[in-house]
Amino acid sequence: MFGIRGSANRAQLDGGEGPATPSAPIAPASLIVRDVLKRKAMVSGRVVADAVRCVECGICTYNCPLGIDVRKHVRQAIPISDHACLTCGECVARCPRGTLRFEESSVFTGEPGGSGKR
Amino acid sequence: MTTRYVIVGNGAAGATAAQSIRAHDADADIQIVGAEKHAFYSRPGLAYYLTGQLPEGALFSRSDKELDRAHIKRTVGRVASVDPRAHRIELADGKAMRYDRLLLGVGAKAVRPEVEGIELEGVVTLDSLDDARLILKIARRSKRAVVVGGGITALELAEGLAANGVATRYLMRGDRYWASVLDERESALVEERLGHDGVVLHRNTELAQVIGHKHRMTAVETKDGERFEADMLAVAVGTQVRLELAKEIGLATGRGIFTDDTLVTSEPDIYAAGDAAEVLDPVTGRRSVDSLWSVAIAQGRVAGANMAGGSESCMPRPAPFNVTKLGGVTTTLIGAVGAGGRDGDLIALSRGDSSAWRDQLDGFAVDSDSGANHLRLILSEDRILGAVVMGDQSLSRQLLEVIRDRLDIRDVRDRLLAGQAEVREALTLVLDRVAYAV
Repeated sequence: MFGIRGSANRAQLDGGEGPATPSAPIAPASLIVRDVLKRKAMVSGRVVADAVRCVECGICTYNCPLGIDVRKHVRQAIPISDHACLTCGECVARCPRGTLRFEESSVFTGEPGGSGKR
Repeated sequence: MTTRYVIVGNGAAGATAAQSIRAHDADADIQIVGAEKHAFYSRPGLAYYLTGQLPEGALFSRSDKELDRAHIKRTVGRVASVDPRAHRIELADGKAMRYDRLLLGVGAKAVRPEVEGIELEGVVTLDSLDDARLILKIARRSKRAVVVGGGITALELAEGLAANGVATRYLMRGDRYWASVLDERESALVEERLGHDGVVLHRNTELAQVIGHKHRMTAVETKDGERFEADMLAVAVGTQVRLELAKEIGLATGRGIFTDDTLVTSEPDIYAAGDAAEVLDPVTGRRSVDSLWSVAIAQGRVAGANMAGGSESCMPRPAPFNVTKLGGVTTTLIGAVGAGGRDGDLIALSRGDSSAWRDQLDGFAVDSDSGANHLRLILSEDRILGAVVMGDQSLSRQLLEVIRDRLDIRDVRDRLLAGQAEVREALTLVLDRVAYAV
């Protein structure tokens, strides 16, 4: 329905910049769907990056409330799957170049993530 | 025997090349020589430093410690001369170094228009961290500023000054912003947002001279004789490659330092990459220059691999691509998007710019808008040649893939023509077809 191959975008979840398709007034049902999706992304999501969009400006790292060096993960093409990451979305929302996005990860299937903080 | 590599320039291309050499040659002796005293920092990030979104310290993305760990040495200094026969360079302070392979990642610098008073104190350009520091220092004591030029840098300067509480005028020589790359609707979107930020736009207005008292500027005068009092003039009319060293060596040059697709210059053992390189595409016979971070990183990687004995090509040229905020609107430019307009604000390529964006390929444009979002696709019979995505960016990732990989869009062409509502599904179909074929 949205995103690409199972990925969810914070702007869409928050209704930030709005969907690309012409939008009718938002119905309460879709608000609930959005909320559910947002919570789902926060619980089961992880932050991944499109390194080619990154210019290493550091806004992500600077705004991470936990001090994770998000920029370094991006440069090394590693998902921000640090166990400390809250998936709060600060870095996703603040990146001026749309480098970061949420991606669903299956925590129960033992999918390999990154090796944590570097 | 240990191979000695010298890299001139600690920008995106140079720093990436150093790390690429290390990845290919564990014993290499690698030396970066750069004129700036700072550790590696994000040049595009300077825009956010100017607006106050970032403190200076956050810009340093690759520390000297990281270099130390990779046993890469960094020397601060200017290269005074290169002797390609003796494989030897000499720095301005007299220090000499020998090399087996040399990389020129010397970048480009802002040019200033030739008008009276352009060297007065208060006239600024944005190339480096030191420039950004100077701009902020002057902005603190300034009430009024004028910006001239075009492209991304002019906007960054206008927004940066406005964010610092300086009343800012932006003088445009033509009737709209960045006419060679953006179409009228796109220019209007950016201009609207600039107005919101308090920047006053003056169309069809050309700088004639800078007026000053003693050494400091006090006003600018336009060709129509209008005078604007100002403490600052920020100039972004384009950049030119730092060619001095290449010319002194006797390398073949044009707008940039000529290289083949493996980034070797006309002199064996001397390579060029990043903003400084003008790269030949052996298939089309055309040369291109870019001032893009992503291209500089990609070329740095290829140059490093080839200096260490590889034979990688940086062609076919990937679709040039940049994503940035234009007047607060997140904008992605991919491939050939030239809108065909003449841009009087730029006399050369600007930062964050690609000569390929101006290409007028045999295609036609489809525009569609929804709310504050805007999408323009340039289509040929069987491919998407270029795209401009403003506002919502959820399509740009798919578009980059489809354009970069030159995917066949014939079976979804009608849906792409139908406008934004159908574009997402059409792109997904194209990408899924490729994914399943693998």
